[in-house]
Amino acid sequence: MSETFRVNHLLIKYFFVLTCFLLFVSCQSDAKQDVSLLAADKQALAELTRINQILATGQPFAPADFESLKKIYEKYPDDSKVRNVYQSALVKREDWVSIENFINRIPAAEQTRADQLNLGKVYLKLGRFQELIDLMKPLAETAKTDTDFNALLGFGYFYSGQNDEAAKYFDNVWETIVSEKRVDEITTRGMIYFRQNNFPKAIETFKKSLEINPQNSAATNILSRIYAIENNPEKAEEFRRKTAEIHQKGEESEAKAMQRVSLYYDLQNAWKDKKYSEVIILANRILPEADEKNKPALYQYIAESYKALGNTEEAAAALKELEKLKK
Amino acid sequence: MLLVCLNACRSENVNNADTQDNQNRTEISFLEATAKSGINFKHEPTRTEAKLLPEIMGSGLAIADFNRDGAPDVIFVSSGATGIKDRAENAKNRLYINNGKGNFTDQTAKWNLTSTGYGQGVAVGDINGDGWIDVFLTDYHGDNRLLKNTGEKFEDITARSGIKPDGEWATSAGFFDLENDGDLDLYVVRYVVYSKEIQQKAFRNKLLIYPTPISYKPVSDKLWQNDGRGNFTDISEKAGLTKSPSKGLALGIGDIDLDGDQDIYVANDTEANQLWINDGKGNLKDIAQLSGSAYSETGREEGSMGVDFSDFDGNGLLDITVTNYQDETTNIFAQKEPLLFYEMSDSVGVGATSRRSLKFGIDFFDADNDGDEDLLVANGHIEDNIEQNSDSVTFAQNDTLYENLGNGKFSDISKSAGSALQEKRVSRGLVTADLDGDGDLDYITSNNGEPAQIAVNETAEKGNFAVFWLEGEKANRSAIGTRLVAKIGDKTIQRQIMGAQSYLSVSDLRVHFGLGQHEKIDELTIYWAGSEPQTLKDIQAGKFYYIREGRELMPFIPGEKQIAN
Repeated sequence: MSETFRVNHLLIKYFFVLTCFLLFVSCQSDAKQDVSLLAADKQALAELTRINQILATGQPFAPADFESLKKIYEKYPDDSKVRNVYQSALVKREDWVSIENFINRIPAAEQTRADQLNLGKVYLKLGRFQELIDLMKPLAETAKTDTDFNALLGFGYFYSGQNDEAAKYFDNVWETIVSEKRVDEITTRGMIYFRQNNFPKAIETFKKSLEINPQNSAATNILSRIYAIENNPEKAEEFRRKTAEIHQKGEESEAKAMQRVSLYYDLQNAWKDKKYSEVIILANRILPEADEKNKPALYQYIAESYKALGNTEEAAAALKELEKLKK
Repeated sequence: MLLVCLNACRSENVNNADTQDNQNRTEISFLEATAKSGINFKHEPTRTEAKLLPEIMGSGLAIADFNRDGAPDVIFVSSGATGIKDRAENAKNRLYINNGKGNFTDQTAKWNLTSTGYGQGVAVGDINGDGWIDVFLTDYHGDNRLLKNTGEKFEDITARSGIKPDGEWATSAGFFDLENDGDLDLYVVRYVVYSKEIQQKAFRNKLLIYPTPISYKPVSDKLWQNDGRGNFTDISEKAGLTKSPSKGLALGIGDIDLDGDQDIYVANDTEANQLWINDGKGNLKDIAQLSGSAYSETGREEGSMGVDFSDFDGNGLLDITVTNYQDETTNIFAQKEPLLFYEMSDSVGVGATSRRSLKFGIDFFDADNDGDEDLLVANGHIEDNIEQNSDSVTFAQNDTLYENLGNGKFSDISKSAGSALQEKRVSRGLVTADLDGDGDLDYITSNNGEPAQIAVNETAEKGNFAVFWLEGEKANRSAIGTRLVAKIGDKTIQRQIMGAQSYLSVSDLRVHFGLGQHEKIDELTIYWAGSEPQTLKDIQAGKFYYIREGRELMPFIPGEKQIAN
């Protein structure tokens, strides 16, 4: 979906965070191969750094940037820095099949724990649950207390309809799941109870997940259904309404975010075209609902535009606001 | 050297994926037959650089026997250009008349099929009981048209029918008998409040893309009540629709709770889907959320585009399937207990491959005449530049065919089910019908900005069949809403005549039964909509039958002669 679109799966946010973290760590570690070649290629190195900056700061990642990165990757496929930035780019593009191909090109013996987890998450995203199970089962059997392996295996069994097996692997690491407040795992455990018609345990588990995230529509939706089945129409309606409200709120914030992105691009285009009055109008429109981290740049745009228009007084006022933000 | 290795490794991975899919072998086969069919329709969306939302929606098509010769004819809706009432020649709707052998002739002009506004969907049904199937066309501008079939041509009777244009974006529509009074009422699904002046630009990685409806307000659907003579009254408020505006794209109508009246399922784009249960008096209540058919299993609203019903698992209760956005599954809402649904796309074998496509039209149909319904899905992305943002997702996509394995599971057989499924298209509308009268079901897709596709069923080893064309007396003439229960050996199969399904489209109103190896239907009970049931025994396989309510079977050969009105 578009740049503002919501995550498509319970786990995508988690996956993305993990990959960015890996990128950050790996990029500072020593590359194993191709390092000297890349170090000597100043142009490629500079481009890689620029692209890494875009990815690490969560900016939109233009197709032209990806094509540029692809050329570097094709030239230095064994350089760990390049590989990590490339993998991060694939995640940013939500190109799950390409991520799978990317990880599978790494010989199995050389795949790290992170590679295995990411591959498992790709299978989860693509709905290939048997492959997820095949990948995770030996890992979870070996590392019985590894929360990530066990939880991923639990998800695999859950989505393929094998409730008892799913429950087993979530329960293996339940204490950690609860202490780490893993809301997706807790919610899925609640769904397993629901599928097994164990409504008291399902209600208890969903309530636990709602304590962590009150906006969890998966939990409110099924709670509503449980109460309807149990002939408790008031409670069913309460949670039905709550589910609808959560969705409504989500849609509104998505729509707003989409509008903001569009305004940002209009602003950048106006700046490029030296339409300074337009830049000022657009920046002021964005400011009230802008993220704190974006506000300094917006004041900078305003100040520079006033300066270009010869209005030093307004330019100074904008710079003053900028200074306030910095403090 | 490194580059060679990289490419080789990449190929290996792709091949592995293909091998995995190709394990799903089948006898079912659909062959590309567009060129020899005589159908040369090409949808015209007038896609612009501004990437206006209507331009990517595509359009629908309808199968119906407009000249009563027993052969399924087809109407294709084209779109045109937004803001322009009169269509250019290349953007006109088309009517193709079938000779019963799958050879079609363009008779658009002869039948005076009109084309106005920016076309979207189509519904068919006999609104005045005169034996001729009438047509309703929906329009992005809300200037929908009701066309009366005189037996020789269509007359635009919108103005005198009481159906008024209101400027709101209409998508799918369906005729059905709301209160079982013997005439066809009309449900019109509507989308969002939109005009190009308020279009919100959308981007993916700095690239301008076609938007989703997220930024636009929803519109409530319309329900038009027929007085039996083709005069319609707006009863949307009385029926309870106006309080629940939503972003509707598709419509399924059938007796979900088997209480003898017609219920309505609306697939909404990025909002909860609706299941309107009919109390038999024309009052509707949305129970989708409480019944478990509103959201994905994880409680998410999805980008829903198409819908169909079938008792795919043979438990006697109708299940609901809904097509959704890329990365979302094609929902299979299995009705395990009356009005209690469980979303089971992953566990029945539809989930994984459905996530790979952006899905629109959908149809349950028995592709191999084995008595259970298989599932066909029309695919195509909405971002015409998606290839710039992904190495694995494309704008044009292959359609998907799932074979019902008979044990409540499906298998994706697309890659081994014939040439028709091997080419990528931007598919939208989808219908199924026995176009060539050979006793198996074929299909047609309408494709955004591309020629339509006609695919003929050439499955070598298939079961026997029996096809029924029903016409009501007390029940509505088109028999929409009628349920048929066939006892074949130790198997019981039920089918319903649905006034709407798929995306912006309607499939054949005739009922097709696959009998497997059986030579006859032992007993067929017809639950005429709003009328008395009728039971027929020992119906011989391999024939097409016409049944007027309460009378005996009359075999016919499609396209041979006009059936007396």
